[in-house]
Amino acid sequence: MLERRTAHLLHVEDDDLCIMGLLRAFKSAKIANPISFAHDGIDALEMLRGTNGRGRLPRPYLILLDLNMPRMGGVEFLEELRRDEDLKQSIVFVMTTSGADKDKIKAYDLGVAGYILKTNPANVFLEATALLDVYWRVVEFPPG
Amino acid sequence: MIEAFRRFSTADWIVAGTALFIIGNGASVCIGWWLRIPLLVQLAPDAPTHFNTGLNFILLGIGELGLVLRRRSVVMAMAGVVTCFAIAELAEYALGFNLGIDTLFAKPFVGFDALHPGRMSGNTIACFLLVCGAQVLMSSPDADAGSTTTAAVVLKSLVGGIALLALLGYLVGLKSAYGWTPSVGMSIRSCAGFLLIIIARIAALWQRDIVDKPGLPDWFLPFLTISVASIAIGLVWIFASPVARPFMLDPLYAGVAHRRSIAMMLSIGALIVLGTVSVLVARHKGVLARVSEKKLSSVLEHMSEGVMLIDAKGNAFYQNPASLRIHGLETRGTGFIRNEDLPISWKCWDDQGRPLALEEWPLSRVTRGERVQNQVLRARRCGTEFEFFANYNGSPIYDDNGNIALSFVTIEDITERRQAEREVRVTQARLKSTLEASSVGTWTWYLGSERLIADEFTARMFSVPAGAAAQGLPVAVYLQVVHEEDRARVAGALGRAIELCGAYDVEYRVLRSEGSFRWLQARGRVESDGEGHATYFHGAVIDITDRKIWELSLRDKNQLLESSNRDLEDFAYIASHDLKTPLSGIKSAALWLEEDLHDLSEESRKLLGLMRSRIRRMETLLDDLLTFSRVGRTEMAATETKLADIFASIVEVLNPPPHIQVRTEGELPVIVTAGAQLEQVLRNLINNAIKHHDKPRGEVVLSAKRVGDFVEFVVRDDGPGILPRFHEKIFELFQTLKRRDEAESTGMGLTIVKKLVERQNCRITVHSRGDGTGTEFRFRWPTSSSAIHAREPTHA
Repeated sequence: MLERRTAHLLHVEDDDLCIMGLLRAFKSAKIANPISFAHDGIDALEMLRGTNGRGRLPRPYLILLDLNMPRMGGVEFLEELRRDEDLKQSIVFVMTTSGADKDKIKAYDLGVAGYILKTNPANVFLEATALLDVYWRVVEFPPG
Repeated sequence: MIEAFRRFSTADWIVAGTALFIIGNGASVCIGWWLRIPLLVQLAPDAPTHFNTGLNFILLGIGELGLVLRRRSVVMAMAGVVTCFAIAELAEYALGFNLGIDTLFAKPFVGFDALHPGRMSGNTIACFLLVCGAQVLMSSPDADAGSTTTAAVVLKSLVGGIALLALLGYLVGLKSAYGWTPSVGMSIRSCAGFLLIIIARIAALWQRDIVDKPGLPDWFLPFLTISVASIAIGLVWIFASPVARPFMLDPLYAGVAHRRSIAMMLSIGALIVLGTVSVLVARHKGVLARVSEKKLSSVLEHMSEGVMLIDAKGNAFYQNPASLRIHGLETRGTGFIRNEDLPISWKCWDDQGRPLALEEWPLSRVTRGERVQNQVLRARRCGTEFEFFANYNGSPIYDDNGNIALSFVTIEDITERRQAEREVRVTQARLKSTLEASSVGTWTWYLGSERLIADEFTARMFSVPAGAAAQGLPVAVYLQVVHEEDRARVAGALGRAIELCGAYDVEYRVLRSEGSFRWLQARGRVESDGEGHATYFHGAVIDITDRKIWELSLRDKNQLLESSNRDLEDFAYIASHDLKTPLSGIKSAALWLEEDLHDLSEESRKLLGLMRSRIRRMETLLDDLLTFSRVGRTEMAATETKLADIFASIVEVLNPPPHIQVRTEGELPVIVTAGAQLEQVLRNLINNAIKHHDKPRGEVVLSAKRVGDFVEFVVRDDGPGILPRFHEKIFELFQTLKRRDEAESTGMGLTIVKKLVERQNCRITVHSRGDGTGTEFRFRWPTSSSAIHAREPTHA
């Protein structure tokens, strides 16, 4: 088996508590994959493209996306992402407190890999982390 | 008494005068006997007028006076005494007794040669009896009935015949003609007395116009009557004795008597010829034709209209049964009313209720020769409550000489019609005042004339002159006033109603002169003739401006209320949702803190525990708030719902503690309804029952049974119960009856229940005394057909 390149996680989230939750979950699950944080859609796009003096995020990567954010929300970010020739193949998981059907439909329309509801923040990060851990071990990432 | 004389008619004067004469005649006889004056006692030597005869004549005269004065008791008393006298004397003859009455009052000083001095002759007795009989008949209440009059006339005719025969006897000197009993005969004065009574009576009859007298002189009827009677008496006399042998009282004069008999027979023969001729004349002139007028009288009797015949003096001498009925009189008899009796028997008013003077009464008018046409009057019998309304028509009937022979009136009873008319008037007045009070106008459109007649209110609404509206204005005039946006609609509705002969109901605006407009509602109906052609169109207009203004403002307010409700629900939804995010952060932070800090003091651990429990409470609160806000937002879908499944799922979710048994009672039906909402209601109720149970053992029971289109649910427990004063409070938002730390409760469970039940247009009630005997919640929940009504579009 070929040594796989380590996947990068881009967590697009404006809530520090959520960032903390994820970090705690990674730590407790002893996952070593590097994590980058973006505070909103614009920030995330800059990181993905390596614009505005930012280092381009190494490939392969996986995006964990919140929907409610300042400046550019999750849905807007997804639309922009799918329009970008370089980025449109990105694997995106939505992790949000919004359980509204219209948000779910919109997200899946824009080709997300999964929609995770932050009902119970204490547990959800642990569960999401476990999912990611399995996911990037099992799933093939787009080439490039 | 004087008043009675004043009301005397000519006929009455004739009879009364004769009566007085007879009394005088009788009195003179009596005086003659007492003073022994032969001239007063006897005119012919062998036939005195006896004292008793004179006395009886006085009584007879008083009886006649009683008749004209309408004193029946007097008539009866007099006739009784005279009859007794006559019968007593008759008995003396028949049985051969002497009662002593012959010479009771006066000692005879003439006529000693008689067998019984002072005793009346047989024919006198007969005459007295007959006259008394006639008097009694005539004084009877139905004296005017034809049969009674006829009977009285027959009796009197016989008296006339006897008296005439006796007079003839005196003339020809034939004793058998005037002396029917041995030795004594009817005196000349008795003959004259009887004849006078008879003539007076028949003259009175003639005067009263009871009989037709076409062109015949006044004396004709008495003459006719006596002639006919003579024929009878004469024939009897002839047949009883050829040559009157058995009546020859004096054999010594046999030869002479024979000659006299022949003379008598000749006289009677002449009378018979005369009588026959007069009967023939009467027949020819139609006097006797009345007898054969049965057909006419039967028509009169069966007419529903009253008919009254009035003689030239204004006395009503005939009324048919209908007339008697209308006038409230006995239906027997001819209903004879003397003109003079009218004002004391009746009071009359004209159509307008003004008292009517006697000379304006129909009877008085026709008697004067006027024609009466449709004279309506109200009449009341004096001293009674009897009253009637009648329509009178009438006309005089003239004889050949152009004098009024008699007149007639017809009477149509319109009492009932009058009452109906009065009721209609009262109803109309009431309707008018009702319409005035209720801002309702009425109108009628006679479709042929294209004119619409409207009342005052309608005219005011359409700003047209009331006078012109009452006369009728073209429909176009009214349409002109209708708001131009509504005009086509109104015209269309009118056209449709006329075409279909149907109802009309339309709301529109009319312009007022000041430029404003008012809202009217018009309702009407087209009436058609039998063949389906529209004939007229009538209806009403109501001013509904106030209602319209109110409706519009209500609609605005309703919209405002709806949007504010929606805002509130949206707010509740967003708030509860957005509050959850920071809360979950706090929750996570607290959890991590507890994880990270291993060496916590007991106090800190307790505080962290408190924090967690408050966070949980807030989560529940937010969840309930979300549910509550969703009640009005979520559409209720009716699905087939197995209540038993719902119950099982609730029990599973609630997971009741082992000491509380949650069970059902009776069969739980399968229904089609908004199942999710129903489950929520039942879950909240059962959860409450479990949560608040305070006893070592307990049970919660659910039952459901169908009631029509509904299912009636009862959730019953045997817990502490709820005091009646809290029965309303428990359904209010955020209201709890216990400290929050004691029982974890947000105070929203029952509020949600109530809201869900009320969204189904049902009610929930609580039954509990609060004394530890449990609580019972009852509510109805609609199934399939009724559930559809509850599925109103929501604004979620």
